[in-house]
Amino acid sequence: MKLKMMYSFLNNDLQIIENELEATIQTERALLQEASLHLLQAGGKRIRPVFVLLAAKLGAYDIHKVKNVAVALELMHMASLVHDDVIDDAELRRGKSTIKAKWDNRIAMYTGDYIFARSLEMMTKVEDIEAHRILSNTLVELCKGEIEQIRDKYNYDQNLRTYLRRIKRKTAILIAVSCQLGAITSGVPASVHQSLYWFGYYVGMSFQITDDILDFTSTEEQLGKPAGSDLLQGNITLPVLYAMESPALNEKIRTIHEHSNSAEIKEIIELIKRSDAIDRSFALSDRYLERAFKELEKLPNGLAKRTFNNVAKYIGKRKY
Amino acid sequence: MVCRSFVKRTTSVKKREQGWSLVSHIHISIIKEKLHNLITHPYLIKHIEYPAIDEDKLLLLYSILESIDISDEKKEQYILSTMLVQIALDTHDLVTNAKAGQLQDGDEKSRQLTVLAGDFYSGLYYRLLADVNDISMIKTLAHSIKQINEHKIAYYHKELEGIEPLMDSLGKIESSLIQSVSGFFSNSVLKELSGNFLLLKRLIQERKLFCHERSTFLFETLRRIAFTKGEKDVASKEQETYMLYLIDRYIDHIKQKIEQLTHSIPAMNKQLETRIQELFYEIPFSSKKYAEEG
Repeated sequence: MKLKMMYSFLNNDLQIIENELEATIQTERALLQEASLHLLQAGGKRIRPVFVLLAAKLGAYDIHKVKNVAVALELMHMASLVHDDVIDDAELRRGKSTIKAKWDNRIAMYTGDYIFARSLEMMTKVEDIEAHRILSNTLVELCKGEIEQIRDKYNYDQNLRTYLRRIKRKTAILIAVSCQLGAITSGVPASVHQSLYWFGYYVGMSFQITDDILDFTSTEEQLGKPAGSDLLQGNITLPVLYAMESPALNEKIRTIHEHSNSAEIKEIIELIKRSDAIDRSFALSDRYLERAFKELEKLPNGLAKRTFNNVAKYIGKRKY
Repeated sequence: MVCRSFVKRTTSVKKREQGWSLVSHIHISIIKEKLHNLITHPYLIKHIEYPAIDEDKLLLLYSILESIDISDEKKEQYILSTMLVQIALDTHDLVTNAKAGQLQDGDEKSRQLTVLAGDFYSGLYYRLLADVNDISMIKTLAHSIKQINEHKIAYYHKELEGIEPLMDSLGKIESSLIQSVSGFFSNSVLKELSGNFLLLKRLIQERKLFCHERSTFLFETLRRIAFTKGEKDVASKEQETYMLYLIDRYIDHIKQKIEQLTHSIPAMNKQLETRIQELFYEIPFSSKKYAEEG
């Protein structure tokens, strides 16, 4: 089953979110409007709003309240993507020109800051201060994760713990918080929103590990960027860490540096793919998924829980 | 009467107990130190330019808040969070357009971290205000960030037609944050004073830079607006003179507004008063001449 089919019962509400996203970034400034729309229309899985809405279904669901959190989180994610493209000097995202490529870095910085501000304005419609404490803390952690990622580039002496902490900050906590905030907005008991946080966290960890695996195993067409881009950029992901346990591969991987090119690392990518690193990475991703399913067991039965279960399964098994 | 004074006394005791006071005990130097502690990230400071703290903006915020009837802790949080936003936005202004391939290794990393540092400081502002339950100030500052970036794009992308919109955008970029805080406390005089003070400071800086470099982004934009097509790439002597004349007239006009405003503030912060006078001394001679000529 396709991902979108799993939560088709949310379609009307997701359309409300989509309309709200477009309305929120409206501005009289022509270029800013164009740049923001360019980003919005590039699409995306909208996985954070989906998690927010599903979590909210476990409480007193009111789309007009919960949409504020869903839109705020998606805008925050979008703002971070615009800035990430400046960091990575990326030309393409989802097959479309990035804002920094279509205009320049400065326009991308201002657009990102503008979208971030709109997201915060949207979020201030939520009156629950706990929601703000959780989200603001998450944002700070997220930045720390990205800073660590840069610090750890081409650092071949990092360990599994460093990697896991980085992906937690980079990806997992925002998904965790999407679930938790959706639940808080609909007034569920603390025990339920805590479980949802951990569910989102484990799913997020599994999601990022899978993403890191797919960077090796998918085609350029599927990824929208050349395979092995992470390694070329010096990001030491789980498959690389596992592969480095083999002395021969360890030696080869350590030769990759800031000036290496795609052709030079092609052989190394093939060797990583043929090693047991991919299977071992999938196994760890699965372990996180199992933990996610265990958290789900604590939640009340119903359509939301079943959908969370299906979405988690999909994320674990996705091929690109 | 007795009852009223009793109520008043007990209220003030309660306020004191809660750390409230009409007399401010916050100090700029302490706030600055706290700000330094907040923005000092061990890895960032090794690789990026240490963020500049705009002392004038700090002083303006202090002046706005010193007489407000809220706790010292809250005053500090407001100043710190506003300054964090300012530092975040200023940090992002440092992100360059050069292609990654054209940069030295260290410069590329520095640019990447400059992007993240700005995001990090923005996150800190949000966290600081969320920790003290202040959703309304989060909203006020977020609105200001939105407005500043709208103006930055319009200015940077040369969307502005006319000298008035250009000056308006420049003023908003410089002062929207500080003005939003004075607006938050309904202090319209300090709001106007802050706007004029910061625009004056920027124009003086821009003028100095132009006299030194012979070309700045603002003067290029001004030339595009003031002179129609068919002009050469480089400004002619006459154009330079005319642009300086325009800027000087603005400087003079803003100075006059500031003078009027300062007269309408009965108990102005002494430090701010001195700083305003210092800024007036920085006004180049030609502007002073226009002022004398009227």
